[in-house]
Amino acid sequence: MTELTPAERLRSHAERILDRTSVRERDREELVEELYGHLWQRWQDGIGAGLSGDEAADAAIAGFGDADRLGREMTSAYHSRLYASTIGVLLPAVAGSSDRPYGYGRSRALVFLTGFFTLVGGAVVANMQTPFRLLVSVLALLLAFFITVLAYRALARRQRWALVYVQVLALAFVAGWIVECVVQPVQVSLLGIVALVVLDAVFRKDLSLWVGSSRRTGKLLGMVIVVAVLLPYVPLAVGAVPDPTQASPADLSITVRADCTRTGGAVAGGTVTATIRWARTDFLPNGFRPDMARTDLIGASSASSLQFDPGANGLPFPRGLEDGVVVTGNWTMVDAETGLPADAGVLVFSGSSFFDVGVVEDAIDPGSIQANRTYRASLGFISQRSTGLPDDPIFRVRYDHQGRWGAEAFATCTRSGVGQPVTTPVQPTSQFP
Amino acid sequence: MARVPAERDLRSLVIGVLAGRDAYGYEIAAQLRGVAEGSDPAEGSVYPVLRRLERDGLASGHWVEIGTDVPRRRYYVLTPKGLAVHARREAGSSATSTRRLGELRP
Repeated sequence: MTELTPAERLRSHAERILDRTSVRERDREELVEELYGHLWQRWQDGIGAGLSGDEAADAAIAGFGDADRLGREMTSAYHSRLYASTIGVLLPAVAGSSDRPYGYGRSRALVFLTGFFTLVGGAVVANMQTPFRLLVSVLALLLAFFITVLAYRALARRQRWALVYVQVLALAFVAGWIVECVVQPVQVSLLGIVALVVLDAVFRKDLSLWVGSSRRTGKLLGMVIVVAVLLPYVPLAVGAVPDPTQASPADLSITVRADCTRTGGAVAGGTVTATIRWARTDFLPNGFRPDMARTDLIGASSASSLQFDPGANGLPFPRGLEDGVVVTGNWTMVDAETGLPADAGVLVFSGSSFFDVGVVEDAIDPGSIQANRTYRASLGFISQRSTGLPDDPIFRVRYDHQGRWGAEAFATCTRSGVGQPVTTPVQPTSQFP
Repeated sequence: MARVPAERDLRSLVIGVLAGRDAYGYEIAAQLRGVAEGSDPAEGSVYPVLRRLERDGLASGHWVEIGTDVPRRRYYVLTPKGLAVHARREAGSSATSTRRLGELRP
């Protein structure tokens, strides 16, 4: 923010008082001069008493009295009491509009749009949240909206913190837009465009003068303002916060085993079986929230998948079906006790999304999952190559819980594996334990 | 908590200060800090009072140049009408004091 001299701050305060009055222009100019003279002399006395320039200006402004109250008193000095308490209250806002500095309207427009999009964007995002994160998000968005309302009003009342808020807001939106464009070229951001238009205006000196008489923003308030600007982004970041109302890796037991058949020592085929059991699902009556079943904010799906890996011995593994591995059966999760399907029966073959090897991905139907029941999925495989598969192929079962957390288990023909938590969002890795 | 004087009190105090000599706003506010015991008027409050005194014809103001680097000052002086009001108030105040003194005597 542009630094003002103490004299500029004092004059700004005098003008601010007169902004709240409805007096003739000639009287106004004289009054500004008279009030400024008073503040100036008080400032001089403060400096004489050993205060710094800014401290003396603070003392002079504080001692002079509340600008709004003095403005009302001044109006009543020039008009009847009836006028001062009725029309006089309404007129200053209109009369003062021509005195507002360049950038004032743009600044308020940016704050208004921020408040609007905080509410609208918040409503959209909130629908995709888990209950705990929804609560955090709603609180953050309401607070953010409340601050925009305060800033909108405070700017009209020439309060400095509101201008600092607008400045940080404009910088944040422009920076955010630049980042968006870098990540994904040709992005259009309405707030980014508005912020860009406003950017020059909010850093001009006339706006600083406009708020010059109000209290300076210290470091603490500055930090609060930065936090306030970031508040609307809480719903996007809240996914990283552990949610006590939701199932976690500790609530999931996952194991995988491979029963292999061999021909001449080489693996000719076999069956991979994964067993999954949830101690709890989500803290909702029907398990997963229906509209969160498939995707969440980052677009990750809730799925279990069986994936073949080249193997720790480094030997080339047959790549997918076309490379001589045929799968048999369906990688479909069933209730271990009843044998009833526990998923949507969707079977996805994908040969390119993971290592370019055969991937069988099965999306789980969250509605059919219950806590404390055991589910099983298995898939047979047969090698069509005469040499069979490498001695030690690794099979992996990876579970992705709506992109929020995951677990994966590994098995070889000689060793079963227990699931371990993995970071979310689950990203393909080329390393196996 | 300090008591803020009512507008009428402040008006009387300002008239009282101006009855002594011509003064400008800062000077009047400084004197009131000492005179208005137990009260704490905002310094800026004297200006609406001064302007109202002008409007009512009790005082008149004029600008005085002080120096090149010093803002000029607007001095106020009581008009004959203002002096009359002050004299009436002084007389009334004196009579009230005398009456109250009499009530206290056995």
